[in-house]
Amino acid sequence: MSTLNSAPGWMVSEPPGGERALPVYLLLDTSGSMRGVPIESLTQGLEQFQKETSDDPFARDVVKVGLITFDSGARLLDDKLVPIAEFKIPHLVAEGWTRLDLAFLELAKSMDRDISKPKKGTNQKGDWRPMVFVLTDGYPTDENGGSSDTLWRAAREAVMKRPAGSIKPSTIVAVGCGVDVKDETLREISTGTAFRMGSESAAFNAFLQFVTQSVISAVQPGSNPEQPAPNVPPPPGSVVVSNT
Amino acid sequence: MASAFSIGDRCPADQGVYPSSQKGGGTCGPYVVVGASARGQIHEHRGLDRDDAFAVRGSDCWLAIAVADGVGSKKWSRFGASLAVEAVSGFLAGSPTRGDRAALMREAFADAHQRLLALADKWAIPPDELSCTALALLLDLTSGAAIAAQVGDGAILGWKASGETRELLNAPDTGDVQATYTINGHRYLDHLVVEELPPGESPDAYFLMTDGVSGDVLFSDKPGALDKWAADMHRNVVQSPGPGIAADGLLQWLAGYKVRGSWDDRTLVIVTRAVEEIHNDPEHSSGQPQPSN
Repeated sequence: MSTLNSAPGWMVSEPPGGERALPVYLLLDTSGSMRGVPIESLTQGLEQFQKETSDDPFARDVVKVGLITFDSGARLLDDKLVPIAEFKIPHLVAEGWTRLDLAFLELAKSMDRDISKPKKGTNQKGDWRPMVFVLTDGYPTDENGGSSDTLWRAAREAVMKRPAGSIKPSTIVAVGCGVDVKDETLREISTGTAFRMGSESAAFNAFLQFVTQSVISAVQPGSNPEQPAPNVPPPPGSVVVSNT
Repeated sequence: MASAFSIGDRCPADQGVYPSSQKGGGTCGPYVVVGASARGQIHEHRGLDRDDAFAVRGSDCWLAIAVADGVGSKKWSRFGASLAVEAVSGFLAGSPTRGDRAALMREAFADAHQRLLALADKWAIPPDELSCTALALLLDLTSGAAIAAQVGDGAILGWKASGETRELLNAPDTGDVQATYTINGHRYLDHLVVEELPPGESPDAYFLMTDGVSGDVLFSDKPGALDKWAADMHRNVVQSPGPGIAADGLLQWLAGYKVRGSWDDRTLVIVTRAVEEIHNDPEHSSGQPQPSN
């Protein structure tokens, strides 16, 4: 294949190319307390996120989604990162405890397995650093439903303090919905940006709008790996807990 | 032999207008030089500026080339990139010939680093607002000896008419494959890599590029894809009616080629010995550039 070029004597093949993805992980709390309006609103918000991100002419080429739901267990949808255009919203069921620690463990496994590093002589350009969004409506628990900070802190540490050469998230944004989330917990979960919002339908929609805008903004080449979407304001109606 | 050869970007005074593209070409001694820089499709779509820059300065004895990529989505990084290429190429071209070329190259990067800090100070902005990579090549027009240096991503390739293309520099392994390194960073020396090429090992053509181009040419699982690309580009330059027209062609190509997920600014400078120079080199008696179809 050749490029059209009006300069005399100039004709050149297309460059070889290569592939690069922007992995976006959504860690969503599907514990029992999310039953009713919250889980339904979350599903609707995800549909909007999928549509709007797919509509962006740049994001649609590179964004891959890892949807990790957590309750008494944690699972990655389809066991892999899914291109945004192929991302099908699952039927979400709210039940069980809030095992944020297991969600972080799934995240670490997927980052090692599903995100590629640059490898010259292959078509692997190396993916961008993953963006992680955590949504929760209550305190993290252990396997018996008791409040526990020990488990999730250790799992988060394992995600952020990784051996040299490992993939790490560029950012973890923590979002709390409802009244049971402590600001201090949100601050600790996040790498800088954390906010609280309500548990009504509009709040979930606003949260996923924020995710969409952050992802589209981060697709920008040359964006700061430590702060891929610095200019995206928190959702309207939210209370900023941390924004560093 | 040309003297006071100068093409490429200049840092606009007082945060002035920065052009959305740049191009230039000419001959300097036995070399043809063609450079171009195109604003990325995503920058164009979102109404943002080009953040890349290149500059070439030459004298009777030396040719100094620099490219840079403003990074970090910083408001002023295009000014950092244009200042860096002006500073590095100007320092190298203006310095007297002397033995320790590696030291000269390091001095040029140190000078650019200091100028970036001084500009940030003058404009009362944090230094990382001018974040940029920097790649440079200094070529001895008489002997063909060269020295290359790089901080951050992008690539400097060497191509031989016999068909071999190779990356002249390999960035040190820092253990973080996703990190971005810049010349204005306070630890830039940790990430500066310098490589000397003696006259006998000098390539017939050099390609200096920002990552908007290197990301598209260095990654392929098709055998020989990089060699073919380099040979095609070389052929385009030497078969153009003149360096200025070649620069037009290069800019059009940079602005127009399509690779999925590749919308960054693209900057490429090609430096090649004129065809007759390669043909007269006994080392390449069997490896001549092919005519275009």
